[in-house]
Amino acid sequence: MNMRIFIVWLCLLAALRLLLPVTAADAAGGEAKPPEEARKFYLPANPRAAAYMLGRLSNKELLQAPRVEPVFNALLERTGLDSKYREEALTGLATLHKTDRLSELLAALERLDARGTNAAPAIRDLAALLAKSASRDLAEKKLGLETLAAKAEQPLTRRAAFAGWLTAEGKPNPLWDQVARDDTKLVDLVGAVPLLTDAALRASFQPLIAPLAQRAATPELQQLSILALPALKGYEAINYTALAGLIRAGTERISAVRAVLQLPRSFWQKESAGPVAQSLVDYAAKVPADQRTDADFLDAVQLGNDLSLLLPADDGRRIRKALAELGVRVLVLKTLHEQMLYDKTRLVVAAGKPVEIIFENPDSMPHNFVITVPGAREEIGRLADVMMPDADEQGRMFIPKSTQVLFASKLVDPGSTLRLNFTAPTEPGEYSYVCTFPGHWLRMFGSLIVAADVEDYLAKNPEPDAPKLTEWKVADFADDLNRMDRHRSYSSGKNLFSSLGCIQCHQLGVEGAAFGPSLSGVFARWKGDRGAVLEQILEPAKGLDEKFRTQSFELGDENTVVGIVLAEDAEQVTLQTGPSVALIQKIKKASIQSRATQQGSLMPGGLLNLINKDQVLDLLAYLFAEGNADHAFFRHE
Amino acid sequence: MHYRISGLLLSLAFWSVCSTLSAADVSPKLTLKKGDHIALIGNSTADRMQHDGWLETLVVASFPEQDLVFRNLAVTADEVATWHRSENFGSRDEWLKKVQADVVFAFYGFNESFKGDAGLAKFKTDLDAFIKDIRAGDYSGKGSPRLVLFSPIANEKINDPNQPDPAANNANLRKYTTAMAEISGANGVPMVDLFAISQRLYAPMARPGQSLTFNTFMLTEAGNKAFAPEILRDLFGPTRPLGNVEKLRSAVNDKNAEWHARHRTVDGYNVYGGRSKLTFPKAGKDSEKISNFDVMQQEMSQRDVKTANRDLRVWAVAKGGDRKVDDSNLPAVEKLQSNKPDIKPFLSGEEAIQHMTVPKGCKVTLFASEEQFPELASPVQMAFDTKGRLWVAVWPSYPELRPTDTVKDKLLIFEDRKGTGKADTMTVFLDGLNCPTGFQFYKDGVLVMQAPDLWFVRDTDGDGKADWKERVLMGMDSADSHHTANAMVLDPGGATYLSDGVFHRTQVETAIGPVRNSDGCIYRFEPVTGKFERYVPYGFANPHGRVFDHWGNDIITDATGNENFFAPAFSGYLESGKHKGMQQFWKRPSRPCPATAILSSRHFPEEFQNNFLNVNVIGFQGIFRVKVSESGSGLTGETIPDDLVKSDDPNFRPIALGVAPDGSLYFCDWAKPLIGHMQHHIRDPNRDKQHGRIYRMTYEGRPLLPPVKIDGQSVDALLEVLKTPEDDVRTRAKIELGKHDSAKVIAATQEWMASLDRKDPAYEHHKLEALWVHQWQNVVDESLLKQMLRSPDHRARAAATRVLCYWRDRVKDPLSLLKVQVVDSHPRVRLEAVRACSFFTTREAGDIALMALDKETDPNKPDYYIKYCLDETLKQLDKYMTKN
Repeated sequence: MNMRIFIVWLCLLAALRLLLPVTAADAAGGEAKPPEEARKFYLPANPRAAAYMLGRLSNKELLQAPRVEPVFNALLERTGLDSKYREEALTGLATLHKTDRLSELLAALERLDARGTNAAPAIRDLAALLAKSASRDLAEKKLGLETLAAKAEQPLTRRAAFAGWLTAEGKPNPLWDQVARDDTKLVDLVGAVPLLTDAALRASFQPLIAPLAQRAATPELQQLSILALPALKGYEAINYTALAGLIRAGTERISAVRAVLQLPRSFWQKESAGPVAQSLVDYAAKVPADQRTDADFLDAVQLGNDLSLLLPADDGRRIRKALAELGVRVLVLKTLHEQMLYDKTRLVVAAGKPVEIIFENPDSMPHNFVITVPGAREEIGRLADVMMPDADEQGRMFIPKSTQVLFASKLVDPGSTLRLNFTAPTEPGEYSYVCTFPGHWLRMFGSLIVAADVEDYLAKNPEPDAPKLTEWKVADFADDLNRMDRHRSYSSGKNLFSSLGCIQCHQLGVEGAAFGPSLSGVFARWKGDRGAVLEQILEPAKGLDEKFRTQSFELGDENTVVGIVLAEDAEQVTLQTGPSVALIQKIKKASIQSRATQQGSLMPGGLLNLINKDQVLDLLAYLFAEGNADHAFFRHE
Repeated sequence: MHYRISGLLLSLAFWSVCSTLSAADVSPKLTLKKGDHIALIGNSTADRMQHDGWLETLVVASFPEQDLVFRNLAVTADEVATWHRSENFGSRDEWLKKVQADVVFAFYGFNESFKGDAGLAKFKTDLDAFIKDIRAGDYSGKGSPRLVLFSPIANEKINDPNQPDPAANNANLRKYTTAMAEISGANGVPMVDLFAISQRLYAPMARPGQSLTFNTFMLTEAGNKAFAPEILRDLFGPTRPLGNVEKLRSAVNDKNAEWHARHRTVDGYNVYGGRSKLTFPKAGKDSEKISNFDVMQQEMSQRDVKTANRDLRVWAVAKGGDRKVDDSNLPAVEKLQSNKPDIKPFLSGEEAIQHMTVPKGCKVTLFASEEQFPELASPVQMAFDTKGRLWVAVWPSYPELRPTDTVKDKLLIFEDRKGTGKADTMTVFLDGLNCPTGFQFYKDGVLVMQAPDLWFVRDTDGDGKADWKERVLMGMDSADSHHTANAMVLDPGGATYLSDGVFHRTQVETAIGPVRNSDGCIYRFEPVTGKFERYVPYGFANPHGRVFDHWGNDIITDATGNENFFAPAFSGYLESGKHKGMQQFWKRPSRPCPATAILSSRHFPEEFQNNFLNVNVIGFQGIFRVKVSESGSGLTGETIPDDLVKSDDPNFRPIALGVAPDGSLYFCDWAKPLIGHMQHHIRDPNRDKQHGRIYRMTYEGRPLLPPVKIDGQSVDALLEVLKTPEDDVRTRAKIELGKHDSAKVIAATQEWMASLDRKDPAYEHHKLEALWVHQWQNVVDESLLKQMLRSPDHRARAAATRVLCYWRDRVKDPLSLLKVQVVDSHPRVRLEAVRACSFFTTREAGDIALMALDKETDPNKPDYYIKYCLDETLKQLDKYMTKN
């Protein structure tokens, strides 16, 4: 700590003793919230301790903190704060230190620069503030800018300094000539150009940078030159042509792709769109499957798709189809904490196509992901059970050496994520994926559906885990309800009755709970009308018996309770708020502010959305048979 | 035979009758009807009544024709407005309905009282709401229940310097009792003033130095015996309990034990909670599925019927007759097939050794197996006592007892009297247990975890079998039985630790207020003082492993992920919530791990010394060796490639281990083909209940250590034992010292310290042991503490800082001492100081903790553990820091 800062600290400490703890309301001139709601702050006198304490505040809390030096520093150095707070901090520090805004800005950049790459977002914000400063003010700080441009550790800081320096100069030369022979400095200077706020100043670099975009001493210099081109106002058309040429030639293609994406669409040229797009298709086809989720690939595909829109309809479609086929299906699969399950029981992939699975493991034990040929899950699981935990040559454990294993991941540690890239089998079918950590295969598995056409498969087999569910309507079953009386699955119906939760609220014979209406004889009540019974399930609120209509009660404590009234007397209402005895509540009438009968039912709609037609029919058959396994509907000749 | 009470009790009862007769209103507060069901709810006063049975016995004996049904629903640490239970346990109303309560005895106010004046208004409101709520209920179908309120008992001043002075809390208890009287009066509900009764009963006991509680607030069996007639008379006026009271009480207790096993069933998360919903094929692949819930609720029905069967006997005995309990009427429990039919046949205990790979020089032999000792089935915990005998808890009932099981879990003692390296004698110390997940020696007995309580059990007549027990802690949840409080170790200063896992809702009553926690936590318990607190509340799944090293640093292991933590950093005080995620101290190659140890034994060569041992039961089935070294403020571990044991026998599941008095290493094999709690049905028939082995590892060519004599040794001799390098030997010496008179131990320790050779390289450790003896004996020596805080060895300074933390209430100006420790030259000491600050309640403590930052060379890259601990300390102190 230099002496000046130290003295300031001493002054500040004295101030702090008087100031703190203060409330946010005090800091804001007592105008904001009433004092009891305001957060209280305590800043220790020790500077390190103060910085640490501020580090514990969220951005929102920090904004409420009293404006003292460590708070100003934090406002400058934190990631994610609006530039108005940065400006406020600069002004505040300048007043405290009796300096000026730019000195404080440079000092802050210096501090942040020493802090490593974590500080990059804040440096970026401060760089923008620096570039926005008036050239007259910057001219006074040329020495400081020069030092920072030369000595800063992080490229971003150096480029910000160069941008300030250039703004002070107002023209590329003589600075350009000064650094032209030093490749590393030239890189920073070129990198500073897009940071300049003065468009004319930027444009004046066209004759210097355009040649470097074609040919430069180092790839880095060429890349930065290419990326600077879109910033050069007035040269968009000529630069587009140059960039299109680079893409077709495959010279620094990805930089050129990104530069084109930065150029306004109005400058994109129809004439070259076809060949450029085609060259991107050709490039994409050569990218290995496991790199097809990288940003480079995705940017190239985006430009190809965007360019295809400039082409005649058929040509455009051809390009898009080609790019789509090269794309990788990306699926997210997670484990469930303390459940020993994956979060999905089915994954659908295209035969022979690359797939990426982002496998997240938030569980507290490691799991893996192994694909087996159809029907081999159990065998592979049992083989893995007796394996020693020795890593194979790929560092994987518990992976039986078997031709039935098509793909296997390493164990993914708790809290970790692994990207798994593989190519789906060419033969469509129902494969398995399973965790082979010993014992886990019993529970932790799912079906890997390999389909010739994924969209087609999904259309025919609604995905249980997909957010798009089938919102069944009675009409969907117009041709199916007669299939209810033959070859139904008893076990499917029985399982659905409990797994869908029917059993939690309804009685059927001896099963279930008597919260909702009994389902014994439900078909008889609807005179055998299957559609009507189905409609009751699909739209529970329709024609609901008054007795089961829910009522809502607003209580004095701003709570609203909704439920079915079980009993009511002069003093209280007994409410069933859900399918458990634990959810019976008693409300004192005195506490009820208002009550209303609701149109809805406690039974959720959409209970059948996750299941398919045959399962719906199995459930209806089970209700019809009232749980009797020997019912004719379940007979299979 | 007519009811006769003991001479002492008779005179007591007579005394109290005389002293209160003139003022007492003798008209009955409560009238009982034939067939009434009486439910007890509330705190430990009620909870403990079910185990002693005195009040119930006297009531039943007074009304023998009424066929009364008592069901105790009390849970220690309950308050009138709390219901801290594991998932889906059921509400208070549901349980009152289940037991069809006609009469409700409600015991509240003790746990509430710790909020003092500030909590009085809320207590009154809550109590009023409770009364109205209960009265609005109809649990029996016969209308509103008859409610009786019971005030808290007073805390007793007992003749034990280690117990707190009850005066302060008695002032509160008196206010809460008055508040209860006010609210009960306003509602016209009868109340029994236990506070007044207790004050009357304590006084005559105090004169000869006796007491009715063991910890100032929990009634002993004798306490309950003294209270029962007083309560009886207060409720019903003069009554005359008839019949053979002891016989009746035995029938009552038998019934209550059955009910306790039902109401407080272990493994609740699998019986009624989240995992009870897991389903498994009933009869092989693709067959209909059956859930844990289905089967376990059938077992619960059996327990209901067993309880009711015992009511019949209670009624018969009350009427002067008797009746054999007949459980032939139990409902059936569904049987299922295993979902793991392909189990590998067991190898014999000897054969299994051939499947173990061990480092060169190490040799494994079989010490004991179920082949020789059928009781050795499913060993789960082990420890050597001061006589050098090996104690083993066995858990054949895993995951828990069935209602119809005849073989119960046990605590066994193995001896190798002939010195052959094989067990030749086995004694069953304690039988009839259910899930004995932890035990630890204390004074002349043993603390045994028997959920939901921790028992102190002793063998007073020396026949090797338990004959005396007291429930010293109550309310340890066991919603998932396999991580019920376990891994009980002693720290060098005599506190013991209980590791408790996820899903649990533990709540424990202490003399300074209730302690509650949701999910995983390590608790710290000082058996000498009864102090109990959350030590590491953390997002543990199943914390099992627990060790302290030579200098008192602890390593905590979460079994599920085999995550091993350097514990000083995350054991600071946190009033509520849990600590944030912390890095592991060692990159473990595999999981899961049921136990850990430190190999502290000169029998093994140098490179084995103080290895951290970590057992593993799936995949890698064996014992990892870990080299531990200092790193910054913490410790760091490194796997030694030469594993201590590695077996390819799929049934080998090492589960507990420890160093024997002769320096050899013993380890228990759970010996099971299937072990998962979740992968298989709770009642999967292939859960083995027969096998268990104990192995012994020696190092060939190196002599065994001569066992150090501990049992029966003099204080002076025991102090000399504290110079032994082996950690467990010193611990056993301190356990033995615990049997001796504290004043004598302390005097001798002072002399021993003076006699120590200052040039001894272990001098600082010996002195540290002297400090730990003081801590163990609960005697503060401020001057010794200050010496050790400035010891030349940073490890001793760190350990002394820990002692300071636990003596902070009895040392002059502890914060000024911490101010020095927090800027110590060594980061480990600074870490302990930051940790200690979290236990204070002032801004100054926070400022002192922050001083640790000044010693960081780069404030942008602070020491990991210091930063972590500082974050957590300030999280706790924030409210004091911002206080005006």
